[in-house]
Amino acid sequence: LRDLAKKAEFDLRRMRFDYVSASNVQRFDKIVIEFIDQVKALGPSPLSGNKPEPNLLLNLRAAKAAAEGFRLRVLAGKEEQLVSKGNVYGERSTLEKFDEVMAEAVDSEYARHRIRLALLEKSMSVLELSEKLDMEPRRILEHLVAMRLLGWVDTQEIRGRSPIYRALEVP
Amino acid sequence: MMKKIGAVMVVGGGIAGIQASLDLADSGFLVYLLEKLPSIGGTMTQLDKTFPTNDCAMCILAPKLVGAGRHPNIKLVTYTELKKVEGEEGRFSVTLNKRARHVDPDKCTGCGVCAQRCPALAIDEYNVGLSERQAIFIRYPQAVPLVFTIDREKCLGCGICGEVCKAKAIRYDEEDTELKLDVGSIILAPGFEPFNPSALSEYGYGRYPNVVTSLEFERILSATGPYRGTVLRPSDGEMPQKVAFIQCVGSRDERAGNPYCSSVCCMYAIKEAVIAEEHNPGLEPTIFYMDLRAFGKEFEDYYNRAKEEHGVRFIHCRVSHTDEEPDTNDLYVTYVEENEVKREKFDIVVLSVAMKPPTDAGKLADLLGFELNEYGFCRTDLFTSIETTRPGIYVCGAFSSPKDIPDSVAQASGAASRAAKAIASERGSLITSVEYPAEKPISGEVRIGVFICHCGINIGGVVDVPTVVEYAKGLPNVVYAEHNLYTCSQDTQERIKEKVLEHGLNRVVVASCTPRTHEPLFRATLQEAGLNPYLFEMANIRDQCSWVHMHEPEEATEKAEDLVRMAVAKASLIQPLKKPKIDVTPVALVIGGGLSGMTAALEIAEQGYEVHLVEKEKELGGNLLKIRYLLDGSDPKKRLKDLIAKIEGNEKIKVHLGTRVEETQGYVGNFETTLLSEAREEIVRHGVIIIATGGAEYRPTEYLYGIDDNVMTQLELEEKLADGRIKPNNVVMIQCVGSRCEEHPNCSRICCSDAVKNALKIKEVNPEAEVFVLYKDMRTYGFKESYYREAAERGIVFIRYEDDKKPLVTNNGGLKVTVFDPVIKEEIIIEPDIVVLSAGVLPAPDNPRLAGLLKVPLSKDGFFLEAHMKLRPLDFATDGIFLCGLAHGPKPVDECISQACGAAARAVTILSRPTLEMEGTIAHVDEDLCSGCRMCEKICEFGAIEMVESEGKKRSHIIEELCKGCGVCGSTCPSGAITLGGFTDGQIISQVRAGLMEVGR
Repeated sequence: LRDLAKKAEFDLRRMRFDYVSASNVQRFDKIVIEFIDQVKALGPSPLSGNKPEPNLLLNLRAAKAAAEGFRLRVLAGKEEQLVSKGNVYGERSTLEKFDEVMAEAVDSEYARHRIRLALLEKSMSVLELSEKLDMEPRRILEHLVAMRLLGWVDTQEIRGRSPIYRALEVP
Repeated sequence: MMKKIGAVMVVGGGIAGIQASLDLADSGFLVYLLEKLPSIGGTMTQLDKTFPTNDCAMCILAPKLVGAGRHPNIKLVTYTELKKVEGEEGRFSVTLNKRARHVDPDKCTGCGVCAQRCPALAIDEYNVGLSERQAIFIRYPQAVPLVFTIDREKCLGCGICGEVCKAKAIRYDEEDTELKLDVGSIILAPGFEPFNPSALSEYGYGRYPNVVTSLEFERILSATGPYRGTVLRPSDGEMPQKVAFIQCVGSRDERAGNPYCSSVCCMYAIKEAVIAEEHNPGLEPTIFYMDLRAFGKEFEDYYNRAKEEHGVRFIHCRVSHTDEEPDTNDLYVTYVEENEVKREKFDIVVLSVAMKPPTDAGKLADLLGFELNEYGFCRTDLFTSIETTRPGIYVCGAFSSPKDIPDSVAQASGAASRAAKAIASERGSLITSVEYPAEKPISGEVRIGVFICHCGINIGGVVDVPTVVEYAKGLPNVVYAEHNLYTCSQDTQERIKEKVLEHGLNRVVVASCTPRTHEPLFRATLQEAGLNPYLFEMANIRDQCSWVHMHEPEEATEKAEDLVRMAVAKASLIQPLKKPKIDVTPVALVIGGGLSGMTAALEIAEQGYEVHLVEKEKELGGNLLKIRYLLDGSDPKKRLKDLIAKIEGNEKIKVHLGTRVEETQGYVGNFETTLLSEAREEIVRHGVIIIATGGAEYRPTEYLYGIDDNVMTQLELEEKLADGRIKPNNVVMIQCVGSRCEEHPNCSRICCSDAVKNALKIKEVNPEAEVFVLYKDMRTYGFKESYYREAAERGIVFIRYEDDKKPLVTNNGGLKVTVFDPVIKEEIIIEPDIVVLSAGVLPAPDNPRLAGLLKVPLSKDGFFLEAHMKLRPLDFATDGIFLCGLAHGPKPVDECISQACGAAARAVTILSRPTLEMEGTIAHVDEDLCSGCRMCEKICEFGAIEMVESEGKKRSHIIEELCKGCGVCGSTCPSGAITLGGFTDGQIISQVRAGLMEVGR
């Protein structure tokens, strides 16, 4: 989640993960108070008020969608089994190798959800998407090719020499 | 002598391997088709369209894939590599390593749910890296066998596929296994490897995203490719305006280690340019080439159309390099045209990459003990172009030399003939024939059983299958309905048989996927249950319903009900159909006693069948009689003598000299032909016909030919040189005389190599001689390129001319040739002793008469026209008639031999069967309704309709043995007298009515 939030350029100081035992009331109390102070000190969130920062919002929604997506959930859910117990072939993956696979998956899932959300707002060409999302056009095309296979996007029309992509309802 | 084995192993499952396997399996041998990838199909599956017909590659290949996959005598051994080969011709023992797929092929139904759920991604090799696939995958959607494979390098071992597979097909504990096979012959068809242009840094491949290889461009063009058929720039997804094709990337290039010509690139580049323009109208393709080698049948026509109709620009030049503007990824091609350096901007650059030998060629050669040539391809020689250096091992396809699909297919049939000949005594010893129980008579009540498939979640995930079953139960005549997880699985076939018996079913409807892949399976199940196979009807509720209405489950369920209702309505009216059977006369008639005809006759006779070989002249030999020496140094006279001796010594061959075919009647398996010679008329009975009537040299009317004795054709020069009657000092050769011109638009294929051959011979006779070759494009394709290079090194001067600046030959007190030299941009004048004209190859003058007699078509040029230019190069649409050699089109000795052996193999697929069983779906004429208008007779492509006199009137009659069931006659008949079995008006109308009826919902 931190990886995704970081990618979304969300201020990590506004986020905290910790483990608290159900019986340890004092510790919970302390952490919450500390975190409230920390967030107050940072001032109003760029997402608050009537005009939340649109790019940050899109990024965060993409991060959320990626985290909820099938692929990342499966990978995260299988981490324990793959790293400590061994996979279906009886091989154990190292944590580094797993992290590498995970990082790659996080990268592409996050990018694809950003593209999808951007297209849900407005149908666009590869070059327009590239400008909006600040991503290399070549990578965007690669993602669109994969997304079209998954039934996420489709071409709507051709404007000049640019095919325009639109987002589809994902089943 | 050790007993031979009636089985053949074919190494490589591309189009060549598939064709060889089909021919062998159809003529009584067991075939093991070995493929190292998980599915067969080879490179052809990746192509978008094919030249020169622009047929969709996958559409024409798919029937052959399915045919090979379902053939009872072909065992597909996929995802398997060769480990060891022992033994000798007639008896090899082969050890294989079958890699673990981790998926049980008997259980996997190919539904694809595993791949939808797989979290591990890999580069998709099928799309040449332009898209991604999952770690569990099939290579392409129509893959044969349709079985998924786990890519162990990419698989994380998470176990998801095992959890989601409803067919329980995943086998994580599977290991590689060793297989042992005994075979009598081996055919090599491992294909080629595309050249990787990263090594040639000047083109920028790998550095610039918009520089792609020709194979990548095929995928870009393909509707099933990454961009769904719209040409896009990989750098930014924009549609390109200007596309450059650079030829000879890695071919004709000593630096790349490939001095040979790859033979196919000129044509595929033209095709890709034409198709790109079709897919993106307004796109401007430019082809940069050295020599445009459009040498095949009707290729020149295609080249001309590309220029004239599709606006493809051709630039004759050498490309020096490509560079990129980094901000826009636009590309600049720098080239030298007529000594001038030019630079031009393009959006995409396509590199026409060479065909290299397969990467494991060396390993194959070591394992099997045959030799490779200097380029790493399989070593063959001109007269044994389908044999490796090891007896019992044969070769076909691109592995023997770079070649296109029809040449590969023809050679594959040729290899099949050779492989069969070596083990002809064992024909039929290992094949299995399926015996079905006797068909039960059906009478009285119609009792329909309906089986509805979930296809895993493919259908069941969208359509409410149990609801459709309940609906089906209420339809008229339905006495039983059920749903299956997979109706196609083996256990469901058993279940269908049980239900047929239990409920006395006499019609079966399956609602599932497509009849294209699954109808034969269900028909066989009906036969096993004692029902006529045509008492079956299919509703496609996957491709035509659940897949296209994924987001509307309720409507999809209603549509599935509609489709089932329609199928049931038709099923209520279907009747059993009989498959006509034909007895075969195991005798061949070969027309033409040249190299091709003799080779075909000998191939057939040595496989044990009688042959009538008919030659119009008084001696055998044809055009080969006039050929005195060959490029590779072999002696054609000696070869010809040996061949004639073999023909004359073979008691199965009856040679008819000075004879012509006067009349032919009958159909496949049972022809009757009248042969006419001076002495007598003879009637012969035979089962097949091979047309090998050869060609003729063009008689020039230009360049003072016939006026000046020192102007001669290449054949005339050859004769004089061989007899030592001539020793010229200064020679001018003029190419394309009677070829590539208005009257004869196509290329004669052999003249460039013949000119080089004779030019080298002149240099051999007289090293001081000056030889000038005036040409349009030097078309020394394949390995013949080395002789062209040798000629240039020996000082033979090649001068290119254009059609608007043809050379001028005059004689005012001595021969004088004037020609414009584009390099120095000046006219030059040569005063030769002789002028040699490379006269084109024309069709044999008797072709139109013979074509009329046999009811087979001719091409525009007057050569015989095969059933399909790409995949049936040796067949006619009419069954039982085949062609080879110059009758098909101009070609050199080795290709004539390949085709002749191939035609023999095709013929033996008929001769080897005592009876032929035809399809039951054929047309019938109601004679009372027929008005005798003859429209059906004219329109039938297969010659299956004749007019027969009855009650004083000519009426249409279907020759059942020839009918293919296409239905064209039925829809043409103005009197409604013709119906097609299984598709009667009543059946179709009732199906349409059921589709359109109001349903209370």
